[in-house]
Amino acid sequence: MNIERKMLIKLYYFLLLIISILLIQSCSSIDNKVSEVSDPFEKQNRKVFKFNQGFDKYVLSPASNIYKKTLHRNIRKGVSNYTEWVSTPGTIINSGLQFEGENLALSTIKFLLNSMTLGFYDLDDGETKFKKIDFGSTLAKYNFSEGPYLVVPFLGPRTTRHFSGNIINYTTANDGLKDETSYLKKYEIPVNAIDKRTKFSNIIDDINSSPDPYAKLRSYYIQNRRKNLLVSEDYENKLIEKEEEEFEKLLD
Amino acid sequence: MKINLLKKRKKSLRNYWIRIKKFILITLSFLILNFAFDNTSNANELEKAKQQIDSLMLDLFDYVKANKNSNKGNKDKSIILIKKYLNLDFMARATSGKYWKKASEEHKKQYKDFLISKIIDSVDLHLKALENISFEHTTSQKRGKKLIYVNGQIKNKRNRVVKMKWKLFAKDYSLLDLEVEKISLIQSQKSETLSLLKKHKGDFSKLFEEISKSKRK
Repeated sequence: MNIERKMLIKLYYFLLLIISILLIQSCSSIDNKVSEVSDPFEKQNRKVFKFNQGFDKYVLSPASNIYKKTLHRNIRKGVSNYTEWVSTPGTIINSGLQFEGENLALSTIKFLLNSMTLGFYDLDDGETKFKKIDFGSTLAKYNFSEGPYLVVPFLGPRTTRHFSGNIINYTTANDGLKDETSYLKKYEIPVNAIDKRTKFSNIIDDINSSPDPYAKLRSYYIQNRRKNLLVSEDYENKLIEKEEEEFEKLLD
Repeated sequence: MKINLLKKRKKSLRNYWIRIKKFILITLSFLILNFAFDNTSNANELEKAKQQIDSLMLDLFDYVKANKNSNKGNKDKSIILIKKYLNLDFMARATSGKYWKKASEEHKKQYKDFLISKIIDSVDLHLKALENISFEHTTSQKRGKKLIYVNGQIKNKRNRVVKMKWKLFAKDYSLLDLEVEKISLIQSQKSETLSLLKKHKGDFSKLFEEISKSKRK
């Protein structure tokens, strides 16, 4: 790939990020941090969700079944390890941006250690545990609003903040691994998708069996995303207090 | 005369001071006693909540053992267990939001039955996985006046840990909600039910139609 093209792609990502950030700011209410999920594009989102469901049914799910049946568990584990490893530079950068020293140290050590096997084998067998954090989480840390809920074709559910973070993360993670694994890059996205589909097949089946799978997925995603962000205790307490208030009211 | 008056005033001041001291002492001891009593009663409540979850898990393991050779467990036994431990009334109200008040008694009963069948289906679906797990209590905490959280984790054969949080009603230790890896079952069900009720303008019969349609699928 020549330099001009690379520059153009980076410019494109940058513009996308700016648009997303503007979108977050314009669509967010004053205090939607602890409120219900904001879904102003529900109609369009449902259409994209249908499309994604079709893609899952006819492409991803069969591919995942073949993957599960043909490959030995250890090989699948290796692939999982690789997809985890390849996303670690994003965590390292964002741990730094969030001043999460322990997470930064642990993720860096683990990344360097497993780079000896190109990430396919976890040399410390899961002993070093760190929290995966992306740029969306960093935006949350610096009080950017969550933004409206989106369903992105092929990628699935995202908040606008998370989606903007994804774009940045994708570029930084790939930049960090320029030479060692460049030949693996083109397989990264499909392999990651199939690996994740196999891992979460039970949850996906559960969602699909619901009378309103769209609402169920949105709830699972938002709960998981909000509670796994490395944000202040204050934010977490607000979430808990809000829920407790609701419960106490119902118990009166 | 003046000296006498001064002496009297001094005496009355001293008496006054003694009374204040007594009052402070009594108030302090009352506060200390109250605090101690509160702590003991909190500790008792937490212990009882923990016991309740231990008992629930034991009953669940017994149920899984008894039904391990069939795909579907004994429905009557499941209903007894659900009614013993779960606060179904709360769950129904919490998951249907503002529409609960408008629902007829028949619909309320139907909705509670739907929740029971949903819980049974979900346990039956995971009968095999539940066979080989162990449970460990980690912490308990009182939240406000009405809630107690019991935290714990379950481990499977491959040592995979899943974090759980049981939310109990402090009055009768009935289960209000369960969080599995920070995903609340009440929140998830609420989102699904409310979305359907909103679509059908609060009509519960249409909600049940949609539910049975998805079951047929």
